[in-house]
Amino acid sequence: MDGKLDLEIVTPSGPLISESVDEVVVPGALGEMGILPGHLPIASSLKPGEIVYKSRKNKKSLAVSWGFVEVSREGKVNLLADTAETADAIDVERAKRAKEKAEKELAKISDTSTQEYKKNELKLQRALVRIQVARKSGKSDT
Amino acid sequence: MATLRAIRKRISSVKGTEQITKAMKMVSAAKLRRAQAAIENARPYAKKIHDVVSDLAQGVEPSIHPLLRTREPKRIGVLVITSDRGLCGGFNTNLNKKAENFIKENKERYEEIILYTVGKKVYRFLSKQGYNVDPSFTEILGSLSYQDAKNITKVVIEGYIGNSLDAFFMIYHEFKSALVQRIVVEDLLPIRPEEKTIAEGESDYIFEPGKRELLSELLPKYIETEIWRALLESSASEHGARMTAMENATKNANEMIDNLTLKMNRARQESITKELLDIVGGAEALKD
Repeated sequence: MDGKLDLEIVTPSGPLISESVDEVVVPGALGEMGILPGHLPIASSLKPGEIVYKSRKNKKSLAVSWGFVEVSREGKVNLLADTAETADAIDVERAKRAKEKAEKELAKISDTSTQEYKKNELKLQRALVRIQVARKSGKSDT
Repeated sequence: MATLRAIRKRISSVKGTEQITKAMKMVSAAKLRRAQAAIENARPYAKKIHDVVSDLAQGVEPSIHPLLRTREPKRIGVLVITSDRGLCGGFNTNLNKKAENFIKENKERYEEIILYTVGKKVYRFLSKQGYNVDPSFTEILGSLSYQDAKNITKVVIEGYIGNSLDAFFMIYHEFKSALVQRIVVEDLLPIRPEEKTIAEGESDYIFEPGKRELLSELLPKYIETEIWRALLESSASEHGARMTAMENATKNANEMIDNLTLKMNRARQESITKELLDIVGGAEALKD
């Protein structure tokens, strides 16, 4: 173990990141999960949230919607995400609009068990994550 | 010898054809660029999800998820992908032949082969041959989207889990380059984990949330991705094949124009010579 993790993030629209990092934090289905070199093989699904990966010099974050992470036996971190965006790529205005829209839709639906409700709940989550990631990276919040 | 007028007419008609093939080539080249980018971007994801699935499926009891269970295949589904339009060389013909061979070879082995077609060409071909074809996905190529892959996946998975499909295959063109496309027959279901021996002492995967939940999210995604990739491969191949075919057609048209021009010049010269001979002959006759 050379104390590094090989992180690879791919999305259906192309490979996004392939680099050697010190630590990865992913939004696992059962809660936030930090992965350090030497981690046991694990497979977990992801919920909408923020991925943070750190290497010696810097710390970067991404917003993901549905995804999946695998730490292989060889210590490689494979991360499959439906969408993953860096803070710069996030359109904050659009995310805010999506958030408001989803909130309005949710307010209209009284039955919380319907498909429609769940769909909008997911939308809201995704929008919130985007806003959060963008804000953290210091993008002006106008 | 054709008359001068007939040759001229012929040339202008060939020129017209050449213009069309040239334009089609250009359009295909533009479409190919887009399709090629799409498939090249989709491949790494498909590859990764395939690796992950075969990694995970190794240490797992097949009984844990219906998509991992195998049974004696009796009814199989085949997804055959071609294009809606022709004028792309042997693209559709080759695939049609391959599909028919596949059906003939496997007719004895299975009780029933259920055909799903994408693209009008193969649909027409197979239904003309008297095969029973499910047309639900035939006309998706006009506006191909990820949703289409999702829809196909839904039918496939429901069929597999509901025991109406015991195996699933795809026959499509794999895109190598604009010049080379290879027809592949791929078995998608049942999912067969790659045989890899796990060394002693290596730990098994930790699954979060649980094996069952995880696989039931991941396996359908895997199938969806594979179908989507096949659709993209085929679409890039189609444009590649059409571009090549149209380029050849343009070349042939040019050759034909050259030949005809030569012929026309010869005919013109001949007629001038003839006229001259007539005049000279007439003058000679007047002298006497």
